[in-house]
Amino acid sequence: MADSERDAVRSVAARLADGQPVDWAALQASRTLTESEIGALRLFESIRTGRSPAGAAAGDAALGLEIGAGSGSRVHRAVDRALGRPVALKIVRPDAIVPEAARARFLAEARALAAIDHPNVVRIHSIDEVDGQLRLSLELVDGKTLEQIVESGGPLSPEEAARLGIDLCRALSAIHARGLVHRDLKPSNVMRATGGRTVLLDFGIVFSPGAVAAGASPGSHAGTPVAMAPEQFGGPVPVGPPTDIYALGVLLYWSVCGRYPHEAASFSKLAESVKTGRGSPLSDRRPDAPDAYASIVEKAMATDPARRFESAGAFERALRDYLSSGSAAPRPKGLRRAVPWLVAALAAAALATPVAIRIAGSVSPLEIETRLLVARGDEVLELRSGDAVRVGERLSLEVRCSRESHVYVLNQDDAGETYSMFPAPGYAPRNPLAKDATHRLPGDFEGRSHDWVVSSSGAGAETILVIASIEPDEAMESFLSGVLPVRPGEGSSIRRLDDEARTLLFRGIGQTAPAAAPTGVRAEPRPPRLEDLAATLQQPKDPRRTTRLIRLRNVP
Amino acid sequence: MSRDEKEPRPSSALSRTGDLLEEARRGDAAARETLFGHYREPLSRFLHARIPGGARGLLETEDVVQEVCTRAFASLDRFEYRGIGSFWGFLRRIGLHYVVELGRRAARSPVGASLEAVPEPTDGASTPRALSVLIEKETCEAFEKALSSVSESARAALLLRFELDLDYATIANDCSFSSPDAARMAVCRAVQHVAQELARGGFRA
Repeated sequence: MADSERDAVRSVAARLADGQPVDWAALQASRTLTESEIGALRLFESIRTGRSPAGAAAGDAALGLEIGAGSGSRVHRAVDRALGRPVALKIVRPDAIVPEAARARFLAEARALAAIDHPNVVRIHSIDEVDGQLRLSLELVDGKTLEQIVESGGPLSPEEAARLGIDLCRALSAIHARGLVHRDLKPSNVMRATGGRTVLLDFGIVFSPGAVAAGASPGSHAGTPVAMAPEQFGGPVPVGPPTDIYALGVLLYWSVCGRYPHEAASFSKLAESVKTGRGSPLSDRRPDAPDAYASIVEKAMATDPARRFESAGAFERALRDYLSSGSAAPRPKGLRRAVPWLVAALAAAALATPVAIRIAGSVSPLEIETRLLVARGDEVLELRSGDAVRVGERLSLEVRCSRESHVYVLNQDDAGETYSMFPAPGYAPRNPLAKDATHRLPGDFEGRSHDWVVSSSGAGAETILVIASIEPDEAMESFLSGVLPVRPGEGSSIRRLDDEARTLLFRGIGQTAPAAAPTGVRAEPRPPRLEDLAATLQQPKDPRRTTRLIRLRNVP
Repeated sequence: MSRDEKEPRPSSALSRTGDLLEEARRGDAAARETLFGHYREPLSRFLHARIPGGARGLLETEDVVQEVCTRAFASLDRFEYRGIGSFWGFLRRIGLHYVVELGRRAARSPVGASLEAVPEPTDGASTPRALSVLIEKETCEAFEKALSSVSESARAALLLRFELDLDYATIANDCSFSSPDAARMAVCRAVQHVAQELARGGFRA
């Protein structure tokens, strides 16, 4: 197969995998691929849409799997052929309880979205009506909702939540500038796209105080009760932009606590709690959250709308000031706990301990101490650059961070075999690593503590690269996509192989094992060299990220 | 409050598979219904193109889905859960076996004896003509064969992406990839490999 042909297959495969549309006619016209290849690739499109290739081509929008539903509408993944792109197709449910109201809300949503063009607000492509059924074609956002992120990975750090809040403040500024109120800001309506963009979804109950939207009224109990502002429960204060600011405050509270400030067994009790402001203070539920963060959230959630931020822009400025002023540091209690260790870490750095790392951030320095350990008999020894390791030996890494951090550990042997030693799927802990705790990596797999197992033999070398970052490191995530993760080992077959076979089949530290079960898996060579990667990551110098290389010798 | 909460998105709904499976095994009928309810739509899509032509006149796709779910439930005790991909593979296998069984039955029945017995389409997109039924059968067989040429984890990732429409993060978690990007790369490579395998066999859409 020619390179151009291979590239074309690769390119189309990637588009299909991502749900992107493929211009089959242009592909055929280019004659880059054979009819057979095009037919084989088209098969994947038909699998996703559930239609035969011919049928899909005939339709205006090939409907895929349902990706969301409410009482009045359903949302499907779809490929809009007229527009030539994947879309989220929102369709009024034919069985909607009040079809007229659902229709009116639909039109109001379409008009609102059409009025807003902002990167943090889901975009509308078109609205049409097919067989009497209204269909809203929206931007398809591939990613996870905030609800899914927190439910699967636990509450966010206050810093991460503040960054999310800044994006949402910008979205609200755009919405409010058009005289609209979202009224339904909640975790399931906030999407973090795969590329990192925050997108506000679902304008199904958007409200225009200036011109009452059809299907909604200012005093109606529209919204999700636990995220609703006091004025949404009725009363003299009208719904307006402060209502969304309150909801964003609730969302930022939930993001770091995993619970809502007001919880009650009934709607009336919830309403009473919200109206009187008797919720649980953020500092009770998240004692380690900085005071500055708690103050911002509490101001946004003030019972009296006049005491909240005067605008989404003011809210955004407060969050930005919080992130940049240094007040994002841990609360005093946490700092006191951290001091003895920080002193130890600094002392270790001064003594040039091989695996001690210090990241000097511009505001709040991140200190990380790491110790690479090897189990030898009953002893656990610390390894330093130049030390030797033998096949079958079990390694682990102790990490302790003064701030929540993302840690990546890579291993490469002389043959270029590269493994992601951490993070590894299925292992606990996962990134980000909590601060002020000593984490032992790779960690536990299915409840059992695992070690990395050295599987290189012969006279070679192992390079271990440790990277620490305050934020998820895009460069590292990208690099990890091309290397093999360690996997839990099961047996000890490596011991039955002769040296030659062992060298050919098992190299690097490509597996983990429970305390006494070394084994191996095969990996493919993966350039570049870790030394080059480390140099690349450090150029330009980024104080929020640092790398450390440890070179170990393999001995037979 | 003017509307209900959204139903779970597919990936979050499917992520409960393991728990629901355990509850269903313990006799929780509601858990069983929820579990199979989550897989009903993709199973329907998967089976629709595979039901033999002769059997189409005898059975609706939903009947086939129901039978597959019933058989799957009856076999749950023999199934070892290792993630969404393993459960989907379990359902697929039962579905494919049943489809083969239907093909044998249809071949013995008067309806299945002739391609002419296949009803004329009312919707070109969803009701295939006699010829396309044959093409679909060959396509499905060729696809399964090509699919078997990639590694187990790549195959699982590909099926989760295309047949269950899961996001890469969920796939990475389920198939033990280091990151969503790694899952994406595995899916892309698997598509490329399967497509080339199909093309090598002279595949015609």
